[in-house]
Amino acid sequence: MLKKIIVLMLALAMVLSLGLVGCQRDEEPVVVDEPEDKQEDKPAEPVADKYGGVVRVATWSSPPGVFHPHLYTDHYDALALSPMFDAMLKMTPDLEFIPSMAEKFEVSEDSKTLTFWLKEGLTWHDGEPVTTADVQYTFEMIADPGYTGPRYADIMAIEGVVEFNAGEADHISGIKIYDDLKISITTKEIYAPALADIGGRAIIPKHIWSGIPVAEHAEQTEMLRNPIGSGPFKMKEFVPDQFVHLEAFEDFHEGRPYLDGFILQVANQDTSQAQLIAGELDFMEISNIVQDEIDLLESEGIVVEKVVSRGFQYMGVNTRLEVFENPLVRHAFAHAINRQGIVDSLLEGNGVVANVPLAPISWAMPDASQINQFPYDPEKAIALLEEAGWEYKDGTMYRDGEPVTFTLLYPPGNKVREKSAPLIQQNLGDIGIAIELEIMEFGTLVERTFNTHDFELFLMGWGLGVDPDSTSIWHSDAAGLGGWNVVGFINDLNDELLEKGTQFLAIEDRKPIYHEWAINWNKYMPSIPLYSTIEARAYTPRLRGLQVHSFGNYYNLHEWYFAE
Amino acid sequence: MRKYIIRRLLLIIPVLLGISIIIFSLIHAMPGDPFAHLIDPNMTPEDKDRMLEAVGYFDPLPVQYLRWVAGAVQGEFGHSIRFKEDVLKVMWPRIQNTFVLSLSAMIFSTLLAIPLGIISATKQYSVFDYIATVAAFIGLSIPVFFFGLMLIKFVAFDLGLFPIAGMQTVASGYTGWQLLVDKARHLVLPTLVLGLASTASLMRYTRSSMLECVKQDYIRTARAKGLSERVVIYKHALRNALIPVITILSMQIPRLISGALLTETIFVWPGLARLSFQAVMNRDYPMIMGTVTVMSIVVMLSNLFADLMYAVLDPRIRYQ
Repeated sequence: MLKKIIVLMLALAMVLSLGLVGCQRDEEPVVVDEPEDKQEDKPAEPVADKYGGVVRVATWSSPPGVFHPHLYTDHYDALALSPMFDAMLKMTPDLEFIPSMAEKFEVSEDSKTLTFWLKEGLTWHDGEPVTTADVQYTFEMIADPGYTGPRYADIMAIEGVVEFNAGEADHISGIKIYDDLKISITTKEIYAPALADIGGRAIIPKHIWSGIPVAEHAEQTEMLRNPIGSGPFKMKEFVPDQFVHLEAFEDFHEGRPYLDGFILQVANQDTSQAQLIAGELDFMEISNIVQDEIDLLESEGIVVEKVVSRGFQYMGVNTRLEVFENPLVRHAFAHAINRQGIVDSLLEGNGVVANVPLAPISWAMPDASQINQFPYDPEKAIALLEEAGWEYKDGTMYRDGEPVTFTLLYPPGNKVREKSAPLIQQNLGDIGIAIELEIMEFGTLVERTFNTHDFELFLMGWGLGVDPDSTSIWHSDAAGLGGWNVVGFINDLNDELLEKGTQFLAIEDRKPIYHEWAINWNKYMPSIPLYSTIEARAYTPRLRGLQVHSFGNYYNLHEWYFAE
Repeated sequence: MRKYIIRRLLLIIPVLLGISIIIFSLIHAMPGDPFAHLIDPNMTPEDKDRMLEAVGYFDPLPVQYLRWVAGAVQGEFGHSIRFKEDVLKVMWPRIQNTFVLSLSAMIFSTLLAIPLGIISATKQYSVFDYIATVAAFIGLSIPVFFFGLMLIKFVAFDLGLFPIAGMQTVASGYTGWQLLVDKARHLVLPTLVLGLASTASLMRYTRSSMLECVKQDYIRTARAKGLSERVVIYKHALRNALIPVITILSMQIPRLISGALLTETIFVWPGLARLSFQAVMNRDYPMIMGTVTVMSIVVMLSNLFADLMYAVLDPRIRYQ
């Protein structure tokens, strides 16, 4: 009897699932143009019909479960955190900051003070009210001497943070609470990324955390696993290595999300396409586009939206070594490596050659005519090296009578980058430079490069924030061991412009500074920028209301819904 | 016998100590640190130093080791750096998941391999034997990831018979039998993949062991006595032929716990192998120590089990 029931259920389940899959396949692919158009098209649909459904988003690795916006250190935790936590401001797909938990905000005349008015009636997932005390607590938790997370440097610009951290003050002097809804935050100097670093900072609940010394927060496993935030979704169930199940927060301040739930589901990059088509997943990121895959997905009706990546890949050059001191040598490398060839072959055209260390869509990007493009030109590369005193004889490059050889270190993981290493080896081989390839696991590579500076050349990439401020990557202060200026770029004009760049709030004022900075960087080329990729987001055609962009997928997540 | 078991169990302690010293030295000799993957321009070297200090990274190695041993003897394997949770608590659900998958693969391969091996041996050089032998070699030489992806392509995707990945349908709301059926459906493909290689090797062992047995004098005697072929093969030959097979099986027991990285990765099975792999990649030192210790204990216990099984199966073997 039991056996019969099981068989019956199995059969039923299979028929049902086949039926569902069939329906999806029959549906016409929805062409998505401008997000705005889509929004305008939709109001015809009755709102009530939008409610319901659970979206399943792919993640390539399980979040470890440190669900705290200022203590997590793993990228995959961030994927689960952003639907659960909210900030006073949020960033639009046009990279502007607009109020989220704040009703409104104001920037003072001297551009140093931000004043926020919180919306009335905001609540945490547990029903407690959100007040300015929570905002203050968020910053004081990060500035606490016992804080063990990585975010302290983000808020150091606030007046009084350093003193508070040293234990010299009871509160951060730059944060002033007027009442439960009004709060102002003042920075020491004008601080350009203030809207992102202060306004965009996820707020944590004081009533949950303040009873525990900050130094012990990272040990509160139960609380980290069951976070209380104020975002559109709240924690329902976390099964490590399988999924994170979030459910709609009924009292979300912009209205209850249309979706009933949001699931972050661990998937495998090699089989997730099949899962998406079979309806086991609804949304995924594709970081390296393979045209055949895209064609397959689109032929099955899956929507594929392309977005430009927010960073670039580069070949780091240890400019501390005498052999790489001369910028002509770096220029020669840039000419010798067929970067357009890498974009055309390995990326199948889904990318652009990089010449400055900025995200391709950044407003800080100077006009292409203002920077040297370093086109592929081995002859010129050889000429430049000869100008630098090297000697090219019978297909081999000599320096001080010795044949030139370098070791190129690179990590596994990013397939395009892995494949680019032998191409670079071949390109440099063409101008007589022997390259030895050494692939090494990421942690080891970080030790050899950032932590000990024991390298000649290496491959890695930068994913950048919205703000073009790159002080932490290129300022000479960051050139020490462990600093991000791993290639050792020391240049006075560079330092000066980076410092100047954050002293204005208005983009129009900052633009010329960053243009000059990028042109100067391009002139010295302390490492060889290779390419920026074009990525994609693939999702089921039933999913609507998305506005994905380079810096995020979840803008207005509460407005995502399934069309029937 | 009891003395022997106690002696063997006591022997585990110094061996474990040795293993832990070696592993501890090795993982700390590895370049890198627990936060090496944090390439975040908004983080300063000072931030990182503070974080490393909070997890005791800068303490002298002997101090760190003694601290670990002091905890371990009390059953405290420390706090995982990556999970911010007790190491054993992180491991426990993964051990269960791995156990389910490996046990199912082991049962599948044993049930398939031993009968196949016996038939192959009794009908040596028959068509069946040739087919089984060729199939076994294909099974041995086909790469796990390739076989897994083929199954996913043809069985899961094209035919839609089984789910592509995972251990259960997420947020299905299933309970009771439905849940069990759902989990069973997710288990089928990983079991096939994981069981394939061991089925092949186990079958070859059974076959050769059986072949050796049926040539023995006592088998000829049994046949001369006029016993039926069935009794000869299954009662007289099989019992002796199984002794080496038991060894092979016992050697597979540690795999019940340690898991299979490739299979777990392809099918996104939340098991211990992926956990320990990620622990190594992330330099999560307490986590690595925890997984290695648990696996060492299992290996030693299963070796002991294998030795004891000999005595049970072969009356000539006596432990003093």
